[in-house]
Amino acid sequence: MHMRERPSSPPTAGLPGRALPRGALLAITALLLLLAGLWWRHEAGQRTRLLRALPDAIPGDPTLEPWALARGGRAWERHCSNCHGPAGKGDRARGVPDLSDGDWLYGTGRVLEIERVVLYGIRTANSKGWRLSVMPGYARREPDPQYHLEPLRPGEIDEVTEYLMKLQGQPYDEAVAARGLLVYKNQSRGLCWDCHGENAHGNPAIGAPRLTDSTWLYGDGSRAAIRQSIAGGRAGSCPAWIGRLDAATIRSLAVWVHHLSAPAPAPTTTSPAP
Amino acid sequence: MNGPILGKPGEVNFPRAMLLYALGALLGLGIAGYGLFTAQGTVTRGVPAEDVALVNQRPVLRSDFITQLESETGVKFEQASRADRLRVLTEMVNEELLVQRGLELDFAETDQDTRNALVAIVNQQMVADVAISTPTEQQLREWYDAHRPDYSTEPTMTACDLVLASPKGADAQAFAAQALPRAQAAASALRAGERLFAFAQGLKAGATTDAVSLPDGVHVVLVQKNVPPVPMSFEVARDKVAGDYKADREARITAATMRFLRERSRIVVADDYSADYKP
Repeated sequence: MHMRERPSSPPTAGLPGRALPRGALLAITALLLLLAGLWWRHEAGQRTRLLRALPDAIPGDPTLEPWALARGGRAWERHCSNCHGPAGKGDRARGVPDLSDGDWLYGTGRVLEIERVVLYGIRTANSKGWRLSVMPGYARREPDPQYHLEPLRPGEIDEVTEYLMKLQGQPYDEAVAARGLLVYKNQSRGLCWDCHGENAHGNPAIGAPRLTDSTWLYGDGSRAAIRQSIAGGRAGSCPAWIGRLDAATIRSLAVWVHHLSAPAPAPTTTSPAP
Repeated sequence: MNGPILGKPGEVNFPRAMLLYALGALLGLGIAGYGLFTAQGTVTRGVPAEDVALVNQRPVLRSDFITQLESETGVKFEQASRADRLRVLTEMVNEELLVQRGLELDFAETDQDTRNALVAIVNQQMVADVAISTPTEQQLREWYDAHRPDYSTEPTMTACDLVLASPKGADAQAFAAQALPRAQAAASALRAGERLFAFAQGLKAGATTDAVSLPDGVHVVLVQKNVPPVPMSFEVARDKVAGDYKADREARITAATMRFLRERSRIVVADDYSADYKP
């Protein structure tokens, strides 16, 4: 058996002439450990403060908001931008909402409300999420899978579409729109008013959109797109992230989304007003 | 300087070695302690920052607490009194205690409402991933190509059903009372697009059917407008394609899940049903 010869010189670290003294190596290691500990302590403290703060009080907080935005931005890139886009502009072809326009389908844009959507999702299996309503497909034999509703006749769908064109301020046929108003307010069929309201201003408590503005979740607001929504129905969804992301990341995401939609501060001007 | 930094072989610096051992032990203990007292399911006296309480280690989320308080009191959390906050917290803790008691009593076995709720939520959970997923354009196009006949515009027909005439000299009100049920039935038949539609569907505007004898009388349908279905392009049908694609995937996943549940279960069916029991 051939034994390997033991090296005659002691092992060295690094290149000859550049070796660190033992004490320095230990000091550097200790310093790195100390820095890591301080960083960990800072992060843990920030996390605790973020989670114990009132969600709506975080925007504007000079210590919490930047920390949450950094964390939330990273989480956004990883988990949300795939659907919502890097800037949160959404995709109207697929019914992905624009989260930067300040127009909220669910709630009023409070961090607390956004956090609930991130936690429990929309139309997921989690009953704490928003899943009360869907837009029925009135051209289907059974417009709503959950509640009994009669379908609308094709002519009635055309009439309601025309009424919505009127609400939008787009060109419309007055006689057809007048019949559409009757369908919209019908107490026994269609029941459009039940979710969207008597004045079509919508209901953010159930995610029923306002029909009197030019913000559209699906399509471009054209007659064809509106008719398609009424005939085929809509029921978008958003995943629930509880149990998949930690609580601090979820809250940071909520702060990030709020930040996306927050209006930019008014530019300060030094010139005197005219 | 070209000297060694790890010392000569066989040479031991005893105080330094003990110091390193101690540091290593402390670090290990720290990591173990952190894991022990923060991992899910471990018993701890500390309440995580995201929770407002732990009930037998089950968390009550602060977010849920704030939402429930605002829902109950109608004011924002920061405006709610301390008494209200404590009252709502007590309610939430009580709810968690009762839920846990309900699990102990196994109401899923004995209470029909609980069973219905469980069935509904499990059904939803099965298809949750499909419901929130976004199919690719390629998947949708393949589905569209495979189901082209399903995607066409809605055919519409405007028709007039000539069926009733008021006899000369008859009392108008009496006739109306007699004729109304038949007229309603005829309207229903037209609206439902049943037998009369079968006679009229191939006709162009202005054409009339032959006299059709139905149980409620003899009908002649005058077609005023007949717009046949027109195949829709993928771009126009995309929303419906996406809905149908998801519905199909949900049905498949539900069937697969039920098959899996059956396969891992031992189901014994009574003799009088076992012969033709084929779920």
